[in-house]
Parts: sequence; structure tokens; C-alpha cells
Amino acid sequence: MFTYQIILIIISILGILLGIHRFRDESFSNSVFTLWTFVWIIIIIVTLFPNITTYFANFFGLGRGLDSVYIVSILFLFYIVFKLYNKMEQQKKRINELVSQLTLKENEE
Amino acid sequence: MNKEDIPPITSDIYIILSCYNEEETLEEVVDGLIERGFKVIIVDDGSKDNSPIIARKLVKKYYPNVYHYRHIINVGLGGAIKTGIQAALRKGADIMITFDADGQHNPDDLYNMYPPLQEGKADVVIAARDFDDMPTGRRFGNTVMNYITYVFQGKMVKDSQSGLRAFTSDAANKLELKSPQYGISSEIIGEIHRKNLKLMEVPMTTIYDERTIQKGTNTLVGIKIVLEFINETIKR
Repeated sequence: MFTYQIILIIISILGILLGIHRFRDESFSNSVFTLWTFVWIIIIIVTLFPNITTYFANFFGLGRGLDSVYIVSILFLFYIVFKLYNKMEQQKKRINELVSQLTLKENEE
Repeated sequence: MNKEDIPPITSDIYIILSCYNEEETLEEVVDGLIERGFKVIIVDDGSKDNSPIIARKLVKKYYPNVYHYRHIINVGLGGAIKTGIQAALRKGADIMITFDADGQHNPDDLYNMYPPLQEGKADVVIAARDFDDMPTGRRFGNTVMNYITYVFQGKMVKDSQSGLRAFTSDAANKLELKSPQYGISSEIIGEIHRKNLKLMEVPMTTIYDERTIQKGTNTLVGIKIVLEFINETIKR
């Protein structure tokens, strides 16, 4: 086993443990916890069996196994950023609504 | 304007004065509005200067014609306008007019705005600035915003970013506004279009000085408005 594999596996296990911790104190919902754990398990599998990425790359017609990892990672990150942006916008709207209602209520009293 | 030329106020008119750090101009603006016989709702959007103190003083001075609504945090122009509209509706306003507290609007322009609503000729009146009087950069920016509003909201108007807008209470009740920031101006145009409201555009004078030029819609704000529209369009 190479050093990078050991490091990645340790990071993944820490990631899963962090997820369990967040799930227990209810910071993570069921779906987020499942997705989180799933991503780290995939990383462990790919780290232990790097050849999988080559099969994957050949299947999609990409050059190297590593390229397919990059592409999937970038797409995944884009998706997360988009999700986060929408969530943030939603929260901003909810806060605005709250501030507005508080102000109206305060003046009625 | 001569006193006899002033159109009579036959309905309950509230001016929604959105205010964020306007200690220098707030009192003067409210004085001008009260002198002309309007009721004023000051929506202080979490100002950090002396605006709330001045506003409270004005509420006492002009009781019961001035009201002060204060957001505990700054949420943006859109949020302030929404609070103002809700407040005016709850007070039983017949007509409400949004007005800027930074002194760039001339209160005499209001005389063009409420008569068409009182006479039932329109549901919404927007005062359009004369683009020929604007500094070049500002004129270009506002023209671009008119086209952006047309693309995303489906209606072409003379001045999509005007802050001087009058609504009947029925029209205000129909508006579904979501934008928290400067996007509100274009969103109102879109809502007029979607809700089939009768719009009238009247001319207005704008007082430009260094202060008001700094505060208005600049390129960065323009870009933010466009991003907001794209995001809303994707989610629709």
C-alpha cells in the first residue's frame, strides 16, 4: 500500500466519524448523512482499488482513470455549491420575512 | 407650484420612506412631505447612524401623521419596501407611494402621481427620470437595466429603476414580491405585467449631487440584480 492510500483512508474514516458525530447532534439530516457516508465509502473503495477508475474512464471514453475522478469531483462540487447557494438565498428570504413581521408586530402593540 | 394648482388629496395617502443611514436628509424630507399633507411611514432598514433617533423625534413632532418602523437588522431595499407596503395596508391606506429618504426625489413630483389613482385612471403610477439629464455613466446603466428588466420581467418601461412608485391598495395587495435587494424595482415592473395592472408613467425631476450618485444603482448592483434574476428564472 502506498502512503497516499493510507492518508486518504485515514481522512475518509475521520470524515465518516465526523458525519456520525454531526448526525447524532442532529446537525445532519438523514439524507445528508447518507450522502456524506456514501461519498467517503466511494473514496475508500477508489483508494484501495485505483484500477476501478480506469474501467470507469474506459467506459465513458476518457483518457485516464484519474481524469474521470477529477470530472466527477468537479461536477459533484458544482452541484454542492449550487445547492448551498439556493439554501442560503432561501434562508436570507426567511430572515427578511421574519424581520419584516417582527417590525410590523412591534408597531401594532 | 401655485397653491390653487395643487390637485386635492381626496384619499388616505401614505408615503413609504425607506431609509438606511439617512441622518443628514431624513428630517428635511419628512418635513417636506408633511407640509404637503401626506402621511409618512418611515421604514428604517437597520440604520447604524442617528436616523432612528431623528425618526422617533419626527413621530412625536408630527403625531399622528408619521410612523416609524425599524428593522432590527439591515435586509435591503426590497425588504424595506415590503414592510412599508404591509404597514400602509394595515393602516387602511387607499394609496401608497414609495419615496427615497436620501433627498434625491422632489416632493412636488408627487402631485403628478396620486391624481390618476384617485380618479381610477391607473392602478400603478411610476415616475420616470429624464435620462437626458443624467450623467453619462448613469444613463447607460439605467438603459441597460431597462432592457434587462424587459428580458427577465417581460415589460418595457421608461425607467425600470425609479424609486418613485404609487400604488392603489388593491394593486399593492396583489403584488408578490420576493427580491430582498435592489432587484425589487424590476420585480415590481414584472408583477405589474403578470397581474395585469394598469400602469401610467409620469415625468419626474431628480436632484443629482455627489451623495445621491454614490448611493444609486451602480455596475456592481446591476450585476447582482442580473444574478438574482437568473437564479429566480432557474428555480421557476
